[in-house]
Amino acid sequence: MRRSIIGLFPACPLRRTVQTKAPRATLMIELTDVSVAYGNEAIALSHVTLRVVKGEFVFVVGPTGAGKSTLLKLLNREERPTEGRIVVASTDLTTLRPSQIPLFRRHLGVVFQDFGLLPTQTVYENIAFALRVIGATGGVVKRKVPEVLEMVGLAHRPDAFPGQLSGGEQQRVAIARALVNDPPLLLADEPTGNLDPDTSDGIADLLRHINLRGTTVVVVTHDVRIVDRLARRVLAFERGRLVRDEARGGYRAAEVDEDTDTPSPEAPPLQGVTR
Amino acid sequence: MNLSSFFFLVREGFRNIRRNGLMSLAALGTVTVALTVLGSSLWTAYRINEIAQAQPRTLNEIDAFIPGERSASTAVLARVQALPNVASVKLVTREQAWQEMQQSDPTMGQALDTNPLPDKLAIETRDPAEMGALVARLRDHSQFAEIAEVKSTSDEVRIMLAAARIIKIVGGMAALGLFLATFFIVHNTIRLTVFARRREIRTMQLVGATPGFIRFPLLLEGVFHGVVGALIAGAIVLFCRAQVGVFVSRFHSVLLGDVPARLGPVELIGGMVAIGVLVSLIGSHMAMHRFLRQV
Repeated sequence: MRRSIIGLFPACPLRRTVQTKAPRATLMIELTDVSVAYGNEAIALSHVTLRVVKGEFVFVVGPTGAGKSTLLKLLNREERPTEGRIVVASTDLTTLRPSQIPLFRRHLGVVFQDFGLLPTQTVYENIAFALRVIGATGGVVKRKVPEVLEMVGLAHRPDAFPGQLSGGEQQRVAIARALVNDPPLLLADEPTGNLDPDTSDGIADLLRHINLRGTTVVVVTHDVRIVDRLARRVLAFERGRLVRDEARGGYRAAEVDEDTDTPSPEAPPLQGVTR
Repeated sequence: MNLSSFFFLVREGFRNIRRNGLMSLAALGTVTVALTVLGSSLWTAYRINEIAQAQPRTLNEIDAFIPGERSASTAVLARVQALPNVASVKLVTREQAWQEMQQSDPTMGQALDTNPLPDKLAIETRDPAEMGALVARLRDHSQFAEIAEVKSTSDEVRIMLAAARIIKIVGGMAALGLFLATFFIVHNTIRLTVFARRREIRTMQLVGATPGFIRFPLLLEGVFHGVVGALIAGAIVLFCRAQVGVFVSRFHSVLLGDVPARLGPVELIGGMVAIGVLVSLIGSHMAMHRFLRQV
């Protein structure tokens, strides 16, 4: 109620303050003044602050070298920030011990541009592997793998090896593997990077469907087509800085009309700021 | 790790071996060759040492003949006993020697009227390799004028015994060197197999697999290569041992003749499997360590 009232007054000085203080329980990702530097000169990310609430669908866009992949590596704890604090799924990654990393990653689903499938294992085994890792019994594997294969539309190919599948099918397997543990957060790094436009549309629709089921989805992409088609929140990076955070954006920044620049009531407001 | 995960990982290990067939074969071949070289070298060194150890029991005796009075014999006995490297000295009197000769060769005993044999000191050396120095001392008339003649084992034996002593030292060092060489070959081979699967390992890490979960099937693969490689290498060494045995027996050498090997085929294969498992376990563990640290 309070938020909607404030939304009626875009110029209200309280607006930004109130909106950036989302309740902690609803936050899935929180970056506070995060920087990543390699050596003294190469800055991968510079003073990035952003928040993603549970259930959001976020595109991370920008040119090569903008810091998108670094952001994703920070989120799955492949890398650590030089400065700042990162909290993902209520886990403070800046204080996470190396021995706890595998357990943390079980709360994430990760999809790679190159699919990252185990080439010597079948579709079924690739997906089952993610369950086996967390110590699931044979019964759970037998129940959940067909379910998730059905969801991604590959129920008819459980015995195929990755090399026998098309790029789109391999990406569906990767998505199925990422989802089989019911993670609250799905991170996708260029999921349509190696796919033709029609197949990319299929993958985008699948990601949207997953998001509608309640999973928070963060997609790093160069794919203008899917960003524009889905019209979800867009975080644009340039040279390590977060330069645009648009609630329902396109791949490229729209012409901003000061009079009509009000955030959509159902989309999260501008939450990222850079110094 | 629960039982279900354990069986899953064991199945994974064997499945990986089957599915990475060519790489597994290459690793197995390398481990087999390395263990064959190590095993045959260790076996050779062991056998030479064993034969050398057996020699002093029969061939480290020196006979010193004293033709004079009995009192001279007992005096020399006391002085020889005090010499270094003398394990024992026994006086064989001319009467005892005569009796022994008559028993062993009666015709010779009947042909001779009187006993022509002198007293004899049967000297046993402590270190066979030092026998030469002791013989030279006994032949020195300035020290032992009473001794008329000294008989010892041949120079051939002395050379062999000296060689055995060197083998003990050099062989030990060579065995250590070969063990290290084998270890590095095996380690490098396993590292190559792990390197070939680094993307697979990264994927495992990113879906939340613990280092132990990733390591277990790879260790199992390493141990499998170690065991099978050792079994094949053991069979090769056993075959070579038999062939060399046949070859050596043609020489009818008194030295190599009847020294039985204390290690049988089972012990040999068991030892090689133990070395194979040890080398592959440590090698696999070290090879994986680097890749498991990366992400």
